[in-house]
Amino acid sequence: VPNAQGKLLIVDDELGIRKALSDILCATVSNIQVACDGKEALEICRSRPIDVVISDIAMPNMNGLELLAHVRNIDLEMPFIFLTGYGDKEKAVEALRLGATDFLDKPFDPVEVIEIVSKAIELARALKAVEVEVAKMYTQYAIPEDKRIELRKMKMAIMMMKRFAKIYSK
Amino acid sequence: MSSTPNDGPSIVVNKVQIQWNGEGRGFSFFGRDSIIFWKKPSLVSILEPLRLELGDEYYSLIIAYEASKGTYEDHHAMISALGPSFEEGFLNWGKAVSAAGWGSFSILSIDWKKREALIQIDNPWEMEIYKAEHPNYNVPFLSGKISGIFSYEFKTNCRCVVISHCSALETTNRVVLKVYPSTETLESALTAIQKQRSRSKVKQLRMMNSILRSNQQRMMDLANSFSVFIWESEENLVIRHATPGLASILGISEDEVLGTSLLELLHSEDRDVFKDKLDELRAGHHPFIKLQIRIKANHDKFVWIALFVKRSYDLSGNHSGYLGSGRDITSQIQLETQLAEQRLKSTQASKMAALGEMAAGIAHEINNPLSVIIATAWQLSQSIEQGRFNPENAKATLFEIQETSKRIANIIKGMRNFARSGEMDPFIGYSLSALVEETLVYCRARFRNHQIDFRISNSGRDFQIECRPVQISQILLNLLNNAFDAILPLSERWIELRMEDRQDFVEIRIIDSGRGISKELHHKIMLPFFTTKAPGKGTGLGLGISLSIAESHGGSLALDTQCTNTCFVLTLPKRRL
Repeated sequence: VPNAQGKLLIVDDELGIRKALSDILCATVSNIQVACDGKEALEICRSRPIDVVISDIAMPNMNGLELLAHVRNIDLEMPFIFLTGYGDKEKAVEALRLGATDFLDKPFDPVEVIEIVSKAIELARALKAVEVEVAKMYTQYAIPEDKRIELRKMKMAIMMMKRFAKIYSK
Repeated sequence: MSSTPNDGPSIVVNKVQIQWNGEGRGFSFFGRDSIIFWKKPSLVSILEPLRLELGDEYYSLIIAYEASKGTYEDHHAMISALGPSFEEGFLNWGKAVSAAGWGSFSILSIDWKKREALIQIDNPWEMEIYKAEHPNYNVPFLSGKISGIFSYEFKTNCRCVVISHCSALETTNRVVLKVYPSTETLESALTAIQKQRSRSKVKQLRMMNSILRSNQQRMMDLANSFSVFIWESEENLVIRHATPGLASILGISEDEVLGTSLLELLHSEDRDVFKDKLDELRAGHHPFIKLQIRIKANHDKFVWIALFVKRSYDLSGNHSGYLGSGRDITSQIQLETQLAEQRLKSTQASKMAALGEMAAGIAHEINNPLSVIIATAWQLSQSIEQGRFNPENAKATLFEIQETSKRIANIIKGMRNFARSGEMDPFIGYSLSALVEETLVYCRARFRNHQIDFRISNSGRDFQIECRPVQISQILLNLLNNAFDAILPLSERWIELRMEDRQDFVEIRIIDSGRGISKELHHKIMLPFFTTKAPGKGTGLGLGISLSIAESHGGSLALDTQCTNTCFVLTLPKRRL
């Protein structure tokens, strides 16, 4: 298991889950932060850089879907993983539409958790690298701001379609 | 032909000696009593009702027939003592009887060949007495006499008919009778009319009978259509009499019913109940008893009967047995059973619907502790693999796994309980707080998912209640789910469960952020099948069922109409120590 240097935010209203996830991931991820609901998580995302969010859907104050919507206003590409329970398929589809990256079904398999989170951190890192390259190209070819946003949106749409394909093949 | 010794005066009219009997108001000749027509209408008024009753024709025939009897002697006297010839004898006879008021007889003609004759009678009293009221009175007495006399003379049966009434002169009444041969004798005419009359009587009787019968049939039909029967029995319950209803219920003949013991007809399970009730009746506790029992009908089928029983008394006031009525209520009982079954099914259905709704929440409740267990166990195995196993840490981890597993076990237990009806469970002492906790398993996740602020407030103490825990849990869940559905569309969303001490009772209030229930609906909400929820969302049975459960626990369930929010109050008796 590669040691990923990333900043992970775990969001769940249940202490047991927060603790379990931290324990599983502490050896893989160097920086783990926790929040007990969407509201607290959003504060954290606004105040400091986060690479990957792993969040429960059902929570008081602000649920996972609302959190994702808010996060997408700040960062269009940040990997966002949902924890889902039984019968949350409809919510999962809604989440994908909103730009979720992946899902972890409860009860989760620790190995799968490490795998998915590691991949997400890698993705975040790659996206950042690409971002740097793209930014360079944008200036080089003098692509206007509105076109840049359009391009990003297209990229997002492609990523989303890939995820849809993934969830339905599961 | 000898003269009867008589004290009365005796006269001889022509050759005939007539003996007057003043006392007897009669006379006799040739030793035979005869009749006097009195001019006084008293005789008529005595017979008048008879004439009206019988009708003119019948009445006249009876008189004529009676008059014709004894004409053999008259005729014999005419042709022997009274004259050498029939005509002479006849006229002499006429003179004699005219003295008694029969009228003056004269022969207008006699045709021996045709056997016909015309006889004229003047001033017959028979005509006189009826003249005023019946001008066409047909002198039946005289007709009978004349018919008889001429039948013997002509040696063939003769009848006669009045061919003219003549009262031209005010003082004279005259009648002319035509004598003619006839195949019909007075007797046969009388018999014919009697037959005809009796036929019409029989017809009338038959008609009345059929009317009576059809009425009786109607009454029977009516009684049968109500499936009611009336019965009477001896002291030993042997049936003495029963209306056909019982036989038709039992599917046996009416004769078979008689002599059967009522007790033998009963379903064996109902016999003791019946005997007990009968003892109460005998002891005089009740004037009558009413009970629902099963009786054995044909083909080993049982019929439910609503039986009414009373003691019967004989004329001297002693107990003589029992009497009462019975009614087939099988279909009624079947309907009631069906309704009860339906109700039970609906209860189960509404519960299953609620269960389905909550499945996601329950899964959530289970998945979370399961995730914790898996994660903790994995960690432990990791520590062993990586050679950093610490027995102290491992013990703590295993304890956590145990505790979390218990949590899952409790959830599953609660769920299994909920799926049962709980209706047959025994009443046990149970902690109210524990019951509330167990119930919240089903809805806490839903409340959290929809940002509903749920709080429990109690005075910090727990209450023990005597209950069927599953059923009480069902009430709480119903109320919490209703609250959830009601406040979901609102912006202010909270539910409060408050437990308060009320001496022998504990009061559980479930209050939500809704603005209460409109006054028009207050009396409707507890009714079965009433719901304000969208189709498919609610069965409308929740509150009704909850109410009946609360009542079966000796408690109550009501809407607090004083509260500004929506508030239901469940009151349950505390466990008695």
